Amino acid sequence: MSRILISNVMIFEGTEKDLRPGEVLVQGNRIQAVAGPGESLPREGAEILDAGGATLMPGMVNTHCHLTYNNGTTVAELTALPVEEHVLLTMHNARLALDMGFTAAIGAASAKPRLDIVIRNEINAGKIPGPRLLAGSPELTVTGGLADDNKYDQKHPSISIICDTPDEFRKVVRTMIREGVDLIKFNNSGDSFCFPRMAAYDNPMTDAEVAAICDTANNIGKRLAAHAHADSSVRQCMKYGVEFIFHATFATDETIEQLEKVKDRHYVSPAIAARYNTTYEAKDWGITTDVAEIIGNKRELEEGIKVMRKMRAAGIKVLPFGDYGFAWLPHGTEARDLEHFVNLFGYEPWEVLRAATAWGGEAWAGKSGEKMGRVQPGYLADILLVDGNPLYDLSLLQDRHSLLAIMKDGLFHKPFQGRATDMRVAAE
Amino acid sequence: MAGKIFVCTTCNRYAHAPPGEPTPGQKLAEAMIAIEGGRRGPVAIRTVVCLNNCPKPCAAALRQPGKYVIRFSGLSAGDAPALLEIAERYAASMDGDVPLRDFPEHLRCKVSDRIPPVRGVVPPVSEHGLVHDPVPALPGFAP
Repeated sequence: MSRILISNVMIFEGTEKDLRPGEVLVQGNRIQAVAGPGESLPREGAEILDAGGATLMPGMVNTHCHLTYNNGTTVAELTALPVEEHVLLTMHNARLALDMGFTAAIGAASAKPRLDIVIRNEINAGKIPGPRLLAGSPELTVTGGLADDNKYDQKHPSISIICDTPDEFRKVVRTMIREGVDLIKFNNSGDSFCFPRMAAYDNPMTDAEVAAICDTANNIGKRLAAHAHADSSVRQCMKYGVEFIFHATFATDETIEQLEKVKDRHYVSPAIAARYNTTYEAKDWGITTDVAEIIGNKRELEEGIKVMRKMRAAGIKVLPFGDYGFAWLPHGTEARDLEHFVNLFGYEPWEVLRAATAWGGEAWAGKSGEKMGRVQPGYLADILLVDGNPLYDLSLLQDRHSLLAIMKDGLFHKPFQGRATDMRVAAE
Repeated sequence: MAGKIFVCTTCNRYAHAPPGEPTPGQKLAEAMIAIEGGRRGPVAIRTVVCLNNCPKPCAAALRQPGKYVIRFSGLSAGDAPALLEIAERYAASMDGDVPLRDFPEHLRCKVSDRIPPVRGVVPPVSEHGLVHDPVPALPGFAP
């Protein structure tokens, strides 16, 4: 069993406000020991890696990940992509995620039913590089809901599976579980992305439909995530046991108060870049700020900011990242969400990193008992070495040249080659 | 004087560079790194996968907490000195709202966006976003 002693590091433990000097011993795929200031770990039989004062932190966890998205501008582009090409695209996105320091990811919906599943299996088998992946189902939706792109006399394939009764949902949930998903995703709100059909503050799913999805998934221990902008969507998530509440944009103060009482059972993922970038950085694709306002996206941004500030104050676990994979928020730029949490929600950098690592790891592990996301003995050895202090400058994590080493499961995906600060820009 | 600038190294996304050749974005970044003497010179250069200006490469951006975001498009390696100059002015400004008249002249038409900061959020620590990253000088640890 391999033993690697990483010395001369400043450690971000995952939950602490400051870095502290120390060293870390990795044995096999786990962190075996962590030494603090003035302490030293046994070196016998270990490969010694002197990290030159770099920051050692847990790998980041993307808890709202769409590896199957193609950096396109429309859903039609996704559905038009043949499955063979789509598998390769997803594989490349998986590698890019790991290249950018994401050692784990939760699939938030797969654009085709088995894409997340097969990529997860290949990663787990060690055949392709990528983050530890929980495979998500396609989006389950209702007629007229988000991701139903049909018209009365025109069928348009989409990235969703459309059901309209509790029994239909039960069958689809069981089908996806049979195929091998880890998580069931459903859309119990609209979105500005389907303007003008179903607004984000509208909820097209009945309690009976949501109950059917959740009971069927919970009955067999599968995870649940909901596209839940609307206030009633968030309430349904609490009522029926949906662990991952995506967006929660229009949650009222009363709902936030209720969520605070059960905050240990839920994670909120606002995926705010889809709102900010669409409002301010998508004009080259025809979405000016004025258009963003017309379709309701700007309002989703403004309301989302207000709600997330309240949720932060309430101690609700709000997690960064989410919905990357469109042209104006492409794969590889996810770490910019850390900036958004500081600039838009008022988080301190250490809080954001806690959410990206310790909370993300806890969310990924769920009830499995696995330990992920902290630099502590017994935790999975998913580790980053960073050329600088991310608590001082979060933007370091957006630049792959600042990621001096990436370790997943005790193995280097990117080996450490020293703290050179003048390396040439590497080819993409 | 400290500063920071983001540069996209994917540009041009729609016209792949021949294998082994740097992309136009990489050339821009390398030109800036060469002037600064490294990635952590007076102006830090953050090379990123994308800055969302793909139809008009190459792209750069100035972003710091609590400040206007200034985005550039249509850049080339020859713009490197001007970008570094404006990065320093931006860093020295209170809110990032550097008047266009203070930009190097040929850079003014390459400003694609000036996005105001979201109000009501005070950056937790004013130093955040600055380049210099003084790893604490503790015994036994190299800076």
